[in-house]
Amino acid sequence: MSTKKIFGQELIDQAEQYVSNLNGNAIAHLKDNRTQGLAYLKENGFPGPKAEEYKFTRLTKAISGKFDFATPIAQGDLPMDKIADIKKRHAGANILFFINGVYNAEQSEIVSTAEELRIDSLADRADAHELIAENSDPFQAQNNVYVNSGVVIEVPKNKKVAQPVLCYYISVDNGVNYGFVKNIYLANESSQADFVHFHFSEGNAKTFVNETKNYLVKANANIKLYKVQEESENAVYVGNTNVYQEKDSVFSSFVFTFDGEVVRNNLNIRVDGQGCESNMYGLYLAKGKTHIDNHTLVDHIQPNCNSNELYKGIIADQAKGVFNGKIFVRQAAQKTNAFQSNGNILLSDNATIHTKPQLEIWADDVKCSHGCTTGQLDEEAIFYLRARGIDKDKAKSMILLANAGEVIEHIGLGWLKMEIADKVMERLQVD
Amino acid sequence: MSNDDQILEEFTSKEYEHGWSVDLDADEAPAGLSEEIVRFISAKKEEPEWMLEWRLSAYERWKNMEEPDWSNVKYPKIDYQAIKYYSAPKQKKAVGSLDEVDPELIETFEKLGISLNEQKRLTGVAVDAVIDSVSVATTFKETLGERGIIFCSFSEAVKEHPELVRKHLGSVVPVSDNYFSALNSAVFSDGSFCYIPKGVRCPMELSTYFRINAANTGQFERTLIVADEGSYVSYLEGCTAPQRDENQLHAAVVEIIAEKDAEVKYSTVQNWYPGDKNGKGGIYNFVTKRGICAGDHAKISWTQVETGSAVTWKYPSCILKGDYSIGEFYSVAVTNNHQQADTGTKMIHIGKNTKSRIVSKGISAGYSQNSYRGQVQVMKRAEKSRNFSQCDSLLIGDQCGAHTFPYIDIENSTAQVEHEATTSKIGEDQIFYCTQRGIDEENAVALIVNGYAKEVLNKLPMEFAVEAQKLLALTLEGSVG
Repeated sequence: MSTKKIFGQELIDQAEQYVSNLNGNAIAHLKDNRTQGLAYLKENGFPGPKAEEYKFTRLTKAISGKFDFATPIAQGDLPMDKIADIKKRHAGANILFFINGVYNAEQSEIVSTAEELRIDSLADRADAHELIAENSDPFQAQNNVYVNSGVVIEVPKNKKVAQPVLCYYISVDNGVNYGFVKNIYLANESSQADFVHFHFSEGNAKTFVNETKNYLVKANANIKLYKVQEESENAVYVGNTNVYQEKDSVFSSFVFTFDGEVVRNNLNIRVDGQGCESNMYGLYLAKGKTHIDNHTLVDHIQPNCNSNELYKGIIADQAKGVFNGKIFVRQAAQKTNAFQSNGNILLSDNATIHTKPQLEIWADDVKCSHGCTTGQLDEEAIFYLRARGIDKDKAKSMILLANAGEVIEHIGLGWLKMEIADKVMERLQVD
Repeated sequence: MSNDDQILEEFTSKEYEHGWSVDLDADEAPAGLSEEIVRFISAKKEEPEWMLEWRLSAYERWKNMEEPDWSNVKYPKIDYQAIKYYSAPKQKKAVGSLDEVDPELIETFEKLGISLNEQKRLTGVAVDAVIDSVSVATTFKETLGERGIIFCSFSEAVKEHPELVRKHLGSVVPVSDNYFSALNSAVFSDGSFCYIPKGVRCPMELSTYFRINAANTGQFERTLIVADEGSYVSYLEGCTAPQRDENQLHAAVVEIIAEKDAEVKYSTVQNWYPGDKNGKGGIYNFVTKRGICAGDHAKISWTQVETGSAVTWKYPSCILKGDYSIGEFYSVAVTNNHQQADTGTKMIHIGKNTKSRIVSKGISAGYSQNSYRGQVQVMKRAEKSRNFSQCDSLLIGDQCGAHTFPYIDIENSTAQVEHEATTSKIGEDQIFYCTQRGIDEENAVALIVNGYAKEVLNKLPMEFAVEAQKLLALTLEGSVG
């Protein structure tokens, strides 16, 4: 339509300016991705107030005019104490550092052998542009325009990465305060690995991170992704995780969101092979004025696959939660089993939740269901505990913890399970 | 040809039962929409000045609106200038009683299975029959009048009860609510009006029967039901249209106002012509239905069985404003061949301790697409409100689709909202169980589908339940999964 209104024109102009400011300092083989990304933005713009996908999360407004998006990204000062601390805490694991979106090879520690785990910077992988998902979302397009640093992590055929791969994304105050990251994860046939992503901010500056993770999970591979988000109350985050599954593969995603100003996670899984399993777990604990938005999409293209989804939220104060879970079952995807469940608890009258579990099904021989509940704590459960001498506050916390526990119990890594449980207990004030 | 194919063949070639049309002498407006047409309709209906102004302002707004495109249905763009906005069966003079009605009209309704005369004597249902755009007969007026119940055509209401109409018209569905409601407000030609006075329990079911007869016309009727304090009414609506190759537009508005302690039950069996097996023709059914529980302890209950129309786009909704008010929505939507349905409800909880319940059963067969789209909104003030939603979909055949779009927006921590949905097909084991006991596949499917829809069908008044069950079986005949 010719009359279409383009939103976020300022952001588009800045993106164009940014590209010309790069002046040859750009990764050459990503040129097409940049051009296409920019073309997408020019044509479609950023989401306006009525855009269905961003209706409750006004990201365009949250970032417009707040950052100097024309200036190329700089890494900034490294928070050395923090880095040393992290290394000490996770001695023996693979650790990768991304400071404001820029990969820092020097500080990163790789313990796995090159046979087990191959890590290249985007600049060194000439085939990287082929692994970048198309522009189906304005922020993904923006990411494609800006990305100039990142890694390709490849797990070779039949290898199991014994040590988890930890990725630390740290936002620091460096004047421009924004970062764009794109990492590509290639899991070859019958490989296995655990990826743990920590997102946090140093200091309280206004920051913006736009991140894309692309996972290519080949036949019979088993990949687990954990994402822990603890950004500052001034941090705006938008992340796109694109997963492509081939036959008989297993992909599990865990997203734990604790803080941030506006957090938007898009998880898109394309299941393009038979016998696949996709698991999506999420836990969001929002307080203060935090706004947490999880959008998930599973696209079942081939028959005989299973997908499970469980997202739980506890929303306090004036915080806002958004959940949108889409399940597509294409006509060919017979014998699909897809289950989805979303549970929310509101702890205050100023807290809000918008949820939309969406099923779109074109195949008849399937079993699909979704369930969604919103409510306060079960009075009877509280009474049960109080009758046994547990005070009201404690009883409430226990029930909340039990609720969150339904997600936590699925974590495969023992140490991470403990860490998350501790964080949740601290938040819910349970000893 | 396998048995399945045979049955399918048989079914798909089956014709729409109500596909005939009658040559009724009709008074028609020329095709197209303009200010003149709006004035023409208003003049034709001998309406007072305020009504005309209301229409004109609606037309002004409509001109500046854009046709929405967010629904999950596809249809060619409607040319609003090609539609005739007014068509009325010609009548020599105003009719005082049923006996004076044009015999041809009576015959038409008899053909539809609605014998106005018999109805009068036997079933005890008061009927307001609307052909094309005009109400032709209303039965049982006197009996109702004794209790102070007003049940008449909309144009009559405008003339005889202007204060009531003026007060409530557009109060639930404002003119600019959406594209189709604005269009309806500008050109609506007739409909039913119903007022139940304080504390009166309506002794019989009230019913409106809609029929599109003339070609190239759109039907734009408006129903307004006002239930005063402590009253009760059960209202039925049915519709059919002749079989024609071109698509026809039906854009109606239904408004319900339930005051304190009042209860309104609104049931619809929608059987507009769905188009032929290749998706040619059929009615575009774009309807805005909304009720408001204005007072405390009020209750509005929508029950619908949707089997017809090429494209259905309708969301009967409840605004639960009064404390302790209740909203209910029970729906069975069946689509076959190339039908598309995007239907559901909105429950807006404003008052404290409000309750709502949604049960939606979708059945898709053939090449059809069936969507449930609903919203449950709990406002900040709506303490201890409660909602339960269930939307199930049944797929018959692998060329159809079932979609659910539930929006749940909660702003109060004491609210309890539950939503569940499932999608599946009729189990082979269920069919096997039936065939093993000597029930053939065809009847097995009908049996299972009826059982599946029972929860909703049970909510229908008796007269409708029988019709609905027959319709269900008919619509799905042959589409053995």
